[in-house]
Amino acid sequence: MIDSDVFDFVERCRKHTATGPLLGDLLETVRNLGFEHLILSGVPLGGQKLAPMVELNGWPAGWFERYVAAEHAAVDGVCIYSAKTLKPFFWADVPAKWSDTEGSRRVAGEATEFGILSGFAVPMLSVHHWQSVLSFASSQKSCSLSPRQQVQLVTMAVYAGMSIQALSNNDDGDEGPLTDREKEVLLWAAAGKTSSETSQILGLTERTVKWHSTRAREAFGVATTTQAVVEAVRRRLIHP
Amino acid sequence: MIKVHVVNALNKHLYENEFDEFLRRRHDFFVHQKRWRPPSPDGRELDQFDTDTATYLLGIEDGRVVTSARLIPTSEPHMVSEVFSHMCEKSGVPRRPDWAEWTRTFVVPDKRSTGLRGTLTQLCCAVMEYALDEGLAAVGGVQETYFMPHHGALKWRAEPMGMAREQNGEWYIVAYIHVNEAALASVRKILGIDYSLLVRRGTQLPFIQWPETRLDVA
Repeated sequence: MIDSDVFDFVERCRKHTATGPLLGDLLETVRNLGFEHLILSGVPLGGQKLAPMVELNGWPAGWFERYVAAEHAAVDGVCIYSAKTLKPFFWADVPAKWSDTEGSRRVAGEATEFGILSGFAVPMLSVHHWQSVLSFASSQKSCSLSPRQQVQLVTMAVYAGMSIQALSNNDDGDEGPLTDREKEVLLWAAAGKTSSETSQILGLTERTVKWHSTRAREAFGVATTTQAVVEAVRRRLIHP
Repeated sequence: MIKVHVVNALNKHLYENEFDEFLRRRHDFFVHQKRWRPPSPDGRELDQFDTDTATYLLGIEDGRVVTSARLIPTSEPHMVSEVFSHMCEKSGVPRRPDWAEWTRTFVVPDKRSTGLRGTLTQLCCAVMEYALDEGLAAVGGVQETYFMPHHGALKWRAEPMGMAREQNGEWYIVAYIHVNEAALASVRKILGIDYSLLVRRGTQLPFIQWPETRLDVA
C-alpha cells in the first residue's frame, strides 16, 4: 500500500454522507494491509451493552450476534484493554492480565471459527462514550505490519473515527437525558446524602428530590439511584 | 461558559496575573501531567515559541484561567516548522501569515470530560471565532491523534499534512482545520449560543502581518 492510497481514503472520508459507504470503503482499503474485518464502537464498561455502542459493524455475519448474545465484551481481553489505553496496539500485545484469562482465551478461540485470528486496535476519543475503539481483524495467525503500514493504518483509523463523529447527529445531545436539577440531586447522592439531606441543601421538599431521582432512574432505565449515579458518571454527565 | 481574552504583545501588560497563572497551569499540564517538557525551577512553562509573534487566547471562568490556546503565524518559526517538519510529507510545511499554528491548549482537570458542550468545545468555538475575525484561512498544527474525533464531532474539516506518527509512545498528526462561517456556526449550535465568547481589551494587534505592513512591536 502506498501513502497516496491513504490520503485518497482521507479525502473520500469527508464525502461519505452515511456510515454504510464509509464502512465499505474502509474495509476495502484496509484489505490491502491484511485486514478483512473491522468494528468501530464505544468501549463498553462494567456490563454496558455493546450493541447500541457500535458505530461501524464490519464483523463477519454470525460473530457479532454470538459476541453480543454471549456477552463476550465483559471477558474479551482486547475489549477490556481498549478501555484502558489511549494508544494503538496489536491484540497480541494485550497484557496477560486481561488476555490470559479463561474467558478471553475462549473468546479468541471462538473467533477463529469466523476467520478472526489476530488484529490491531486504535482507541480514540468519543463524545458519547468513555472512549471508542476501531479494531481491525485479520485471518492471519499473527498480523504483521511494517512501521510504515502501522502509520498508514492509524492515519486511516483516525480519519474514519472523525468522520463517524461528524455523521452522528447531535440531536440527542441537545438536551441530554438529565435536567440540571436531576444532575444536582445525583451529585448529592454521590456525596452520600439522603433525600432528606439533599432536600435541605437544595431548599426543596423531600418529595421533589425523590421525584428528580425517580426521573433520573427512568432516564437510564435502571432500578436504583446508585445505578443512576454510576450511569451518569459513566456518560460524563456529572463529575462527583 | 468561559470568556476568552485575546492577549498579545500590545495588551499583555493588562494581563500580568492571568498570564502568570497561564504559565503555571501550562507547567502543571505539560511538565507534570504530559511529561513533554522538563521541569522549570520557577514553575512556569515557556518555550522558544513564546515570542511577540504569538497571540494567546486565555479562557477565563470564575476568575480562573481554565483553558488556553497559543496562535502563531506559520510564516514565523513555529513548532511544526522547527520540530515536526518531517510529519508534513504530503503537503509540505505551510508557511502563510493567514495560517495559524495552534498549540499549548490545556483544560484544568476539574473542567475536563464535560461532554461535547464543555470547556474544550467552548475554547474551540473561541479559536474559530478569533480566526474568522482576523481573516485566517486555517488553524492547526501537531495534534494527538486520539483527540481528532473531537474535530469531527464539531463538524470541522481537518486537512492532514502527512501521516500520523508515533513519538515517545504517543501518536501525533499534523493537520490544519479550515476556517469558515460554517465551522463557527456548527460549534455555536452545539454550544447553543449565538454570541461572541471573545473579549478584546487594550490595543489590538492584527494577527496577520503581511510583510509590507509589519509593525515593530519589540
